Amino acid sequence: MIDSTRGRLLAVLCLLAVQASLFPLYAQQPIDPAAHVYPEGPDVASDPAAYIGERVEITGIVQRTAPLVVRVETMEGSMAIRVANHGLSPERGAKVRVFGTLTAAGELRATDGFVVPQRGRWYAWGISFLAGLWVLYRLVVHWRVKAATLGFVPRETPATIRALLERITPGAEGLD
Amino acid sequence: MPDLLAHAFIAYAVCRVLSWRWEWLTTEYVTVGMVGALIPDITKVYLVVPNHAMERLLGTPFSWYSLGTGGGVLVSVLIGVVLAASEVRRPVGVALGIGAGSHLLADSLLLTPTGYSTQLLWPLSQVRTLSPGLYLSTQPGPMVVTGVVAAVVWMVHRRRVSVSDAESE
Repeated sequence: MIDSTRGRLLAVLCLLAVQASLFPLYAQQPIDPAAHVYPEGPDVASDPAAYIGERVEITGIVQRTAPLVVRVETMEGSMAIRVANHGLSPERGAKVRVFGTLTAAGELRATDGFVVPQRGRWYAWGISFLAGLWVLYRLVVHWRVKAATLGFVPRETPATIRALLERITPGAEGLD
Repeated sequence: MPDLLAHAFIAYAVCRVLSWRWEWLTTEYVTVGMVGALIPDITKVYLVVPNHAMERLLGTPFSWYSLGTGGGVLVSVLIGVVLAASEVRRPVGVALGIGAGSHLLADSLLLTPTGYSTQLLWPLSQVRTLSPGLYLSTQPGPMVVTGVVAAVVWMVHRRRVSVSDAESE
């Protein structure tokens, strides 16, 4: 059982290495429309001619509204894609996600799509930050780290804000 | 995905209701379940350092999105399990799994342009889940609904605790 500081750190490093190996693996997963894995912005930008006539999924930021032109960011730079048949009313700067057929390099005929307004993105950021704070608070109140092994254990009694503050101010008692 | 607060509310409600059946699922482990619910959203680091920026930096294909798949979430949960002291590893693993699993299921209901959402079995399978397209993460609706449910669960739990305290006196 891994329960020493060294064992724990080694195991975490191994798992992080596994996690890191998944990042490029995911990015290079083959396109498979049968599994609903379609070409996306970076695929189209790298070789637009290869995907003409195929269904693609594009996420981009609105540059122009009439006609709708979105900018897609890729490793090499950015690409502008004009979207037809979209039925959307986005503002400039909004994020647009569309699915449709690439009719020409840089031109997409949409069959489905929606707008993610900037206001909504700010909401998501703010509310997610609050959620993170709430969970972090609960974690600190209910759990502590054993200094000897760096393992997390439940506290015998929940901590209070006062007790935590006393602990981190000068002259406080030692660690658990 | 629904926003992170909605995910936290869902994990709280699910874990708290399960705690009425499973004695080991105490408040500490409800908290672990809520931590688990945050795990798949580690992928949101792409908002700070986009995929294309990482690709330019490393010179290789790169995507943070693997962190939101079944495989990526499993590895993250295992990291949490390793960080736990050995005597609590099993309940921590179960609670993290419940929280992370609830997040993936909620994400499977998201609106997408293709009508298909999460890759629950990646890297074993690429298949995306068929989604009813209920919401976007930028909409407050899910947070309100799940918040109400979590509040009701909390009140029921408080009532159960006070009834059981009265009975044991």
